[in-house]
Amino acid sequence: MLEELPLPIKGVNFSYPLDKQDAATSPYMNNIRPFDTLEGRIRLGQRPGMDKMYSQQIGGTSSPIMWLDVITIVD
Amino acid sequence: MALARYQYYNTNDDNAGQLYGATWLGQTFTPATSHLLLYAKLKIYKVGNPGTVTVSIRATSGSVPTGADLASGTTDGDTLTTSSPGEWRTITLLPGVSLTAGTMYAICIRATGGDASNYIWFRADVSSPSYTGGTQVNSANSGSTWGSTATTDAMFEEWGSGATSAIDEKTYSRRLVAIGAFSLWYESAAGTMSELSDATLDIDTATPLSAASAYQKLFIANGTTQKVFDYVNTKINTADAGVNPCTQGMTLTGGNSAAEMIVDYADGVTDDAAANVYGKRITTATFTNGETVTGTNGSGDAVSFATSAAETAPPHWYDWTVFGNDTTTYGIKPSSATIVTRYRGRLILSGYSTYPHQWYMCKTGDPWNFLYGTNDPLTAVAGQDAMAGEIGDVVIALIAYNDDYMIVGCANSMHLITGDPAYGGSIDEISDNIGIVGANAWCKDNDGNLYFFGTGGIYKMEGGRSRPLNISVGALPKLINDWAYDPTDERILLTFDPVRNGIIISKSSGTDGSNVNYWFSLRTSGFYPEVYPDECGIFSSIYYDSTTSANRDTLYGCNDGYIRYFLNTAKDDDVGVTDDAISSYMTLPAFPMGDGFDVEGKILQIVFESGGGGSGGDFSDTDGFSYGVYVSDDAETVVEKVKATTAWADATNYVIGDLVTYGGLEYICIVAHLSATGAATHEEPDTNTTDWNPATSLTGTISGTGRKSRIRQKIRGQYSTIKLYNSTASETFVVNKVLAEKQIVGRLKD
Repeated sequence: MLEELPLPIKGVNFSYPLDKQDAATSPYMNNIRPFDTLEGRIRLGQRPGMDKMYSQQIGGTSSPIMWLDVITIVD
Repeated sequence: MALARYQYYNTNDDNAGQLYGATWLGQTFTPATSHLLLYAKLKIYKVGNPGTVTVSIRATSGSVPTGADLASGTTDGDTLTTSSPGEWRTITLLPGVSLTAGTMYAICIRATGGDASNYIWFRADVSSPSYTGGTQVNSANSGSTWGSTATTDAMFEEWGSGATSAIDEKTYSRRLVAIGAFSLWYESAAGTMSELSDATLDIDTATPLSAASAYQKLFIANGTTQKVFDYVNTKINTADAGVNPCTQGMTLTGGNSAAEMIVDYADGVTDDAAANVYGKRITTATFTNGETVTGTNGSGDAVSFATSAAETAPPHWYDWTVFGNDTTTYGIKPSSATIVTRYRGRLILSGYSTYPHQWYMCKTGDPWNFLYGTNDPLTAVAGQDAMAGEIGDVVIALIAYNDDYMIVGCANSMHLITGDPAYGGSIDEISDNIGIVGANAWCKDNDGNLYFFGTGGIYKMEGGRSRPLNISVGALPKLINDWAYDPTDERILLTFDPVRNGIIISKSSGTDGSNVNYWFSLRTSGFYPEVYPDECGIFSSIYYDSTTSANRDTLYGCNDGYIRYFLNTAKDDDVGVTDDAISSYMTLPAFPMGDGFDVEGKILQIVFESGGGGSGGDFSDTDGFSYGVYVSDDAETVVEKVKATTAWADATNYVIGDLVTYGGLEYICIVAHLSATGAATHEEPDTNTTDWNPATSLTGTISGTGRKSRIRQKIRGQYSTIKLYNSTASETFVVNKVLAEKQIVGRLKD
């Protein structure tokens, strides 16, 4: 008879002995989120990809952006 | 009616044009600004009873009307005056028509029920027409074709709203600002970041900095470099500030231009010395070069100086000082700070290495006033002056909560400032043994809970003011050791993503952008490891509630200078010219195949259920994924096999039990040997079955959606786990369910 194997919907947990791993956790995963990018449901799936919001490169060179902020101005 | 008149020509009428039946008249016009035209006024009168008069707006082609009416309205022509020169009659054109600046349109008028005895006169100027945006136009065939009369302008006014659509409630804009590569960039137009050239090389992004948005400006604390990015004020300058100083809030008026501004800040107030004065101009007239500017300052004294150049429009970049650099009147601002935030209308500075436990608040509502301890409830206040007192620990982060309270995160403790320190506020210690690791190592969720990376892991403070609760120690007991945070090269950042209801806890290296991260889900309270390409290492972030919906998301300032966000439809990471595939995998918790003690079991069959329902259909379909089934005599060995990450290498001594990866699969060494590429023996693990065994007992690939066919392959062992993974470009995967049939088979062989 088929039985459902628990999926690690609660992420990783490195505390338990591996033969007593919490049924809803994983000892090893990467780039997985508990909501899918297709429908937004609570089920496991690959994380969304990172995309550029602006085409401009700050500083015009490969250097970290150290601060982002927002100014609110009256039109 | 709170509407504005835009284009018009309403004087010098000395003649009139007749219209009825198929004879129509009109006037072309060209708006200088985009707006919503809502009604027109035409100077007209009647003869007889011409009936309904229709007025419409049409587009133009070749400077004459074309096409159908864009909007139209009517008036009862029988009620018009019969007296020349007529009356100004209003015709509403609701719901209006959106006009674009610089584009020519036409106001057309017709009385199709009229005849030679019942008609309309449309007043015009035929002797000296001077309207430059169009001319009178006419049609003899009910608007099918039109001609124009260049020497005539009809009497018209068009009125409307500054909005460009029927509903426009936008009264403000948000503009993103990014600081990196020793420069500051700002969103000059929606979706476009532009460099502020004055700021380039005037800010040190290699050293600690922070910024706070207030009063339509950005205040930046970067050690001894403290700057203002001013997005709103107009600047005028003078070679001589005059005898009486400007003060904040006074109005200055240009003697020639009649331009007016409300003064916000001046960088000098000394007589006979130069000064730049910044303020909000409240007139359309602009300040000109060489004019005398006058006003009355806050003390009632007359201010007067001559401009030495025409005004300069924002944005501006200048030193953040006290008003006029007048330390006698406005106090002394700390000469160095790396932390700044806004609280109760004050800007608060800290992070001054000489006084690391100190904080400094400007006067409420006045970022240019640091005169502490005056007899004023709004006075500037600092730790050494307040009844609330200093904080004895090194201040690392300032976390403001509306006007109610502020958390001061220190190296080894957490403190709570309640109320206003200058007016009955207090400072209380929340924890004397938990500190925060970095100025940006915190975030707040939508419910006001505070999360921060502290000295013992990741903490949560309910409502931002309860005792810190370690939320990571249960799942990530070795987090502090595993991450081994090095503040000389790395940044830890916490980012709340309200769109996806979770927090990204990131640590990125300034050397190469390499990173480790956790997604903390507020839905499941679980931690999910993530790794991004080095280009995408996160160093800054903000939820940008842009007034332009296309840019509204949680944004991340990345290692390569690009601003990114998580795009649900993106299956790869955008790293530049090409995209990087995302290597994603999950391992199910190890499960006993037998009784978990002494009896082995078999997996008889496995069934996978992929996301997407039937192929196509309403629900989006997953791409395929691979699986590996691992088996061993104990759970730890099973997981060890899954976690094998060491790539097989040539000329390496391997011993029994070594785990390697080769060709995307894991192998375990069963005979000690020295590896050799392409040799007759001891070659690569996929062909060398003498020395290597696959670590997986079963592998395969699942394609398509919904419930998949049974995988019937018997696998025997004590413990097992299943790894699901995908690292293929342009693919993502979603799993609904994994089913297995197990059977106990016998005693475990020792």
